[in-house]
Amino acid sequence: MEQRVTSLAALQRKQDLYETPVTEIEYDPLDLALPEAELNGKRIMEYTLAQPVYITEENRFTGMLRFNAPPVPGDVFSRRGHKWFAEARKHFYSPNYRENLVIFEWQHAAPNYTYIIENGIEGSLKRIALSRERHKGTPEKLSFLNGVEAVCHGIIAWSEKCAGIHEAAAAKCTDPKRRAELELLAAVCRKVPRKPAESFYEALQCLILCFQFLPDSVGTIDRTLYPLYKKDIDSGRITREEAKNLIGEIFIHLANHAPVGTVNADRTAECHFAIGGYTEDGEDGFNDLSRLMVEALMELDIRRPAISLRWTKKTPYEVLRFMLDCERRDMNKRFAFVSDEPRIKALREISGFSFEDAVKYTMVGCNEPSFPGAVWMGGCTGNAVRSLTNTLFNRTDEIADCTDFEQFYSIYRQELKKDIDRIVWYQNQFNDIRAKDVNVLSAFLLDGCIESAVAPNAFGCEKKIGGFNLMGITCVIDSLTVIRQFVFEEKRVTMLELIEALRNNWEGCEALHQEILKQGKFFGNNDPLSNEMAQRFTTELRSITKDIKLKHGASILIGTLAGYNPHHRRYGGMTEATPDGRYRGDGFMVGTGQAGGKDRKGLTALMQSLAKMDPTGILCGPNVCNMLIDPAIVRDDEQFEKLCRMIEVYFQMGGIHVQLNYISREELLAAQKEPEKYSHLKVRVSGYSASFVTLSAPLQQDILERTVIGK
Amino acid sequence: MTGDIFDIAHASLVDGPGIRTAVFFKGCNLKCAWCHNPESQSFSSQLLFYEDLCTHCGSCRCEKEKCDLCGRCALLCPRGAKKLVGRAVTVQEVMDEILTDTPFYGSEGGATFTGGECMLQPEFLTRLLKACKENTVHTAVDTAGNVPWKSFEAILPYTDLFLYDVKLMDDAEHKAYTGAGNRLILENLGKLLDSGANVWVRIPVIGGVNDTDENFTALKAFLKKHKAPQRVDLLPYHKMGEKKYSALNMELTEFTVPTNERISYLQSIL
Repeated sequence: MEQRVTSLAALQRKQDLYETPVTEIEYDPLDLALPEAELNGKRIMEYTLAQPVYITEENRFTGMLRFNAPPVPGDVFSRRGHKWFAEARKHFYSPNYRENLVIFEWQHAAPNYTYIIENGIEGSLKRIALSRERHKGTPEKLSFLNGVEAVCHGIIAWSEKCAGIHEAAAAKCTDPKRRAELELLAAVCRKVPRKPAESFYEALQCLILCFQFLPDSVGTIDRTLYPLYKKDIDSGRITREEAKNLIGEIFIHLANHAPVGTVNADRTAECHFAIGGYTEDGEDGFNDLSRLMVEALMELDIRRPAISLRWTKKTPYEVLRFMLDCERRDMNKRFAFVSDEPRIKALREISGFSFEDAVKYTMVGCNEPSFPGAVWMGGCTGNAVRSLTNTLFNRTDEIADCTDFEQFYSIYRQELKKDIDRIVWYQNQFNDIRAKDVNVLSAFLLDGCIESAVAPNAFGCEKKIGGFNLMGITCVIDSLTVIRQFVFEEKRVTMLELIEALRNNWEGCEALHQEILKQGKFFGNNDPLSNEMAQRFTTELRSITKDIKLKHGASILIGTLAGYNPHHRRYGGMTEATPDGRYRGDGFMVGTGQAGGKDRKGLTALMQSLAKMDPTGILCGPNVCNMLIDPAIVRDDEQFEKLCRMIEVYFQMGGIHVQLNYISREELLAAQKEPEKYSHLKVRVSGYSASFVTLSAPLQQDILERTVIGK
Repeated sequence: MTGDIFDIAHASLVDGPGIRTAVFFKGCNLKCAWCHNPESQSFSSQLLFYEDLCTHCGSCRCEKEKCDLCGRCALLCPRGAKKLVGRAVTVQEVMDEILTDTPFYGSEGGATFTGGECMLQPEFLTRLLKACKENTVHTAVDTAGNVPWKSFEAILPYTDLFLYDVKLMDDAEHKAYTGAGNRLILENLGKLLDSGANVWVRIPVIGGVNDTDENFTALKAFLKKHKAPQRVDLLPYHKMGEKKYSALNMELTEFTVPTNERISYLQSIL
């Protein structure tokens, strides 16, 4: 990597590469008379054009800016500027848990860069014109299209402005090499994103400029950019090393989008994308550009982007090993691993996509599945355990009479269904609220919004994908297992005695508590009882949600992520003691990985339980599986090789996700004691990575309580 | 029939090639002063008691004089201060555990029988090895070799790999540190190598005991006389087993951990 790129990366770690807040402008108050979409479009255009053009001695790309709304409505999921979203947030966002059952969360999206690279914004403008014809007579839709059109013109004008600035800079530049670079950059800005990109460099400039209008996942860019990359490499227009430098610089700008010093700057979920995975012809898509991107990232000490490898049954072992090797050396913890096998199956069988569409999916945010050109319409994080405690404490008389587990389970199922229906109801309410905002900023990058003339936040996207997260899934599986084992099979305790023990938070029942903790057939040990219970529970989730469509049209996929908030801890904090031995108020584990020492049989057993737990694929939403590995294993090449094989087998058996932390408990404890010495210690959290010492106390505790494998 | 074991470790990455399930047999006829699994030495079950973890809460309902090693106290202790080691298991029970990880074994991995000294329960071991071969599971036997040669002969047809511990080349020193001389051990190793069996020689390197030029030169000379082992691995002494000595009420001897440089140097002698 060229020094100018690595030094730009070093600078980015220290400070913002471009200024924020940006130039504030006075808007014409008469705008307020315009329909909202047009007002938004006009103001976005004015705001964009008023911003200073970022330029340094070094950079080969331009057009970076941030939206500093209000009053400019921000990105698609409306972090800022959308008044209805802000209102909803006040009432439903953390820490406003509803009924100890549901809370709202952010969501993520990925733009369709392929379209813009191949057609230019002129293509979008043509589509707007066509759509206008179709929606003649619907003023609201026409207004929306006017707003989107204004944004498109704004982007073209912004690119032209950048070109002008760089032309002027070139004229003044005395170094012939740099002058040529600036002239090229200016020429490219005159061309893209207005017109189609015809070289790898042009495609990257198009991408980074458009990124500002949906600063989130960049999607499956190893596929998007590959044709132009290959064309330029084959024709000798660019070398592999030159391409790596360009990619590197793009990554630095992606990393820089969240202002340095803000809490989000330290988190990878703001820009997470996928490489590899099945292509439409059923082959593995990991290509030379995929590898180049990983190589570039490895040479740069920046916090993001984060990259997940989409593993397929056709992924060569060498590729998986290469990725795991980068992952073990990566101090910034930017890599995770998912398998296409369960995901593609779920996207087809549950979400209803064709194979050709399903293979286009990407990860956004932590590990949400979405598509280039689509939004993951998630947003709810629910408490999976409430239905169980409701069964135990509100329907005590009924379950006390149960003579076998099936009778108990059928009562539990009613409660589970009630809660799932309630979560869906809440999610629809929330989506209705935020659908009232008019987001014209990102519409041109999301498929279907122009054609439907409906904003992405109002479900205008063509591809419908979404669902919600559930906290405490392993707590439910383990609790159901314990009830079946201790109450119905081994008859060590009656249902009423168990409930009494829970009411007393295990006080006075210490012996039973220890028996459960030490002899409970918990999930993660490849025990037939809990394996079956896990399958039964996930299959139940599918059967309950199978006929439900979320209001925007998506079938339900379920995940286990907590996002940036310790929802699993907070729900646990409000939840009674549970039959798995958990005390009242103790947090739930996040994801489906290791759980506080309950998995006693090591990594292979955990992997087998995980790989078997979800036959229907309902957990192919934003699922996350943490594995904390003894660092000695990755220091030793021979042992590391075996770990790589193990992960390959895990995926072959059906595992969906894995993210690894190589860290000893001692090191984590030391970091808690002397945080100043450990500011560089990065850990994978809930599908993203962050600096351990900056995590909240509950999240730190979480990581400490994961079982370390290999000890 | 049953055998006595004290642990089954899944996903072991250090007990031979590939991903393995390690079965730890209870009982050994050496008493190596640096043993990191002191609970493996006795043939009978034992109760480990970690005094520092005990808060005298009374949950264990301990009645020392009536103790018949039922393990109930360990089950009830909320702080893990007590642990019962040693249990009798059938061949089927062990095989169930081994076979559960079959998807992970691939062509290299499999089962490792270790201990303690697994070769001191020859019938149980042989049955397990046979059962593994019937299920095409790769087998490794981890031994200190202090058993009659006929025990090796009995298992040779079912053993894919021997992990053979060699501690000290000097007979008197061997006796002083492990309680037994090394003649039989070395004789068996020589025969085993010459039989063409796959052998990994493993040397626990104990600072101040066997990390000397003389010891390694002598080992080199010994190995030169026989067919070469597949590998010779040096395993640096570590202190991970220390706490178990007091928990077993056994006396702990402390040794020095050899430096990485020393290990590389000794490796270079061989």
